[in-house]
Amino acid sequence: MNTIVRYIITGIAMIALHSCVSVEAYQKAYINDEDMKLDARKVEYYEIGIENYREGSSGANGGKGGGGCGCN
Amino acid sequence: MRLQLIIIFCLQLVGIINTYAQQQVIPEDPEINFLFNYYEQEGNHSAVTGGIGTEALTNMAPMIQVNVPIDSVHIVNVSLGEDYYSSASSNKIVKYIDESTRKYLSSASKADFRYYGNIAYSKRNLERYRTNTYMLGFSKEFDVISSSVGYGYLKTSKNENSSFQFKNQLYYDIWKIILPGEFRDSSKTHFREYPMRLGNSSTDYARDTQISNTLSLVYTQVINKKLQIALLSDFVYQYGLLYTPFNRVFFDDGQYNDTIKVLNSAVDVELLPNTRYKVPLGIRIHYFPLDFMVVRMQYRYYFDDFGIRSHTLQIELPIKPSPYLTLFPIIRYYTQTASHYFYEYGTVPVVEQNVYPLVPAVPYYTSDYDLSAFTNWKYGIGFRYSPLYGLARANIPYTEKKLLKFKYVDMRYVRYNRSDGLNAWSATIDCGFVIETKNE
Repeated sequence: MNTIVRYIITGIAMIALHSCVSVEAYQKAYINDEDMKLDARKVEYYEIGIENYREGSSGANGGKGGGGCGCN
Repeated sequence: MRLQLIIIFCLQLVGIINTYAQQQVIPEDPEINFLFNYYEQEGNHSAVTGGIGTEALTNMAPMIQVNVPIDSVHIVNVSLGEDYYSSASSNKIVKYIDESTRKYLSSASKADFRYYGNIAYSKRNLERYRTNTYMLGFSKEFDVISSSVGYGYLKTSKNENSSFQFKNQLYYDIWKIILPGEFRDSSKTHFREYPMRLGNSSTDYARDTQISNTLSLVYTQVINKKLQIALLSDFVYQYGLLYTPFNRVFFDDGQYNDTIKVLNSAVDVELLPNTRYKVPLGIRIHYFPLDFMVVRMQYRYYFDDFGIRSHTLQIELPIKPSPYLTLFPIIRYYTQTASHYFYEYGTVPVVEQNVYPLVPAVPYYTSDYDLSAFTNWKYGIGFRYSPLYGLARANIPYTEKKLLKFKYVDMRYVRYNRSDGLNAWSATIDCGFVIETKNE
């Protein structure tokens, strides 16, 4: 599993970096689309909270990494 | 009533800040979001009853978020919300109480509130493409009071094709030590020492603290006109009370059967180390392959010193049948290994069975199935409706040029199926408003 994941990440990184180009402001019609934002959606924050409580892991998803409980 | 007060407070806040903002250059309109979430779960591995018993829980959570650009440099963001939850297992904190311990009934009840609020102030340096953000947070529920401070730094490239973000947040939590009912009778012998203050009244609990520090690093890069990625990493360090004082465990006393014995001689409170680090590493890839479809992918790998390793893969496919409507099916796969300290119900090993008092053979133990090995599927659908001129508009009373526009509505429904039998669903609505200034 770990090996497969490593290959996938390496592959994605190689493709991404290979095709990396400078994009001008007037070419960002797609990049500026609401669904292309690299943050979680506002309606998704609750689910991130649920996943933080109901799973043993948390973080790297825009949610909080600790503090408070809300876990009952 | 409480929600109404929150809404009134936020509108007043917007009013105050917006009054000041009228004297400045306003690059963006103030935004107000009203969010509401309903969550329900069912399962049969409650940690409160030692890994067996109902996990039924419902939660209703309204929230309001206000984002006010004071001018082109200063931005204030405020969010306030509350969780109103009803938890069957919370009620079992005192399930085993008998006549001698009845007077120690805790304030932990079947239904409780959690309130929280966060405020962030950001200051942009437009010449150097930098933003500094300062954050404060607070939350309170029946057994935990939490406060937090944070600082964020964002550096964007001149062409805005890449950015680097550093954020650090420090949480300080104060926990009431609410023990299960049977542990509040000081005349009984227990496996380890518990606080002398057993909770004779709602203000007489012993307390302990937990400190969590979260360091986040995010790098984003526009790859080409239709593809951008983000690399995310967190380092979380926690210190202090990391176990839940009312979560039970049952030792393997050789008399295990499927029936929980009242005031079982083999029952104890879970015990976990007082330090923990967590390291999640993630990548987000957002791609616009077709004019009517976006692909949002996220992968995360996680490890910690409790022995949990996890992989998460989430894919969202926003489809745009019209410029104003987006439908987005969601699927997420999550898998984790068990913590070193996890034991199923009634299996915490002891040095010698049937010899009382039992002595645990391991230093730390929990039967919280959130720390067990499982896979978790999430799937669902959402939609966003955002017409060009909004869903509705209204003049704001007592202002001449201000208009409140109902800009969009965003809804989302997901289900969770966990391999240990925990099933849940969540529905969320987000109504987005902006305060616009009428053109002359």
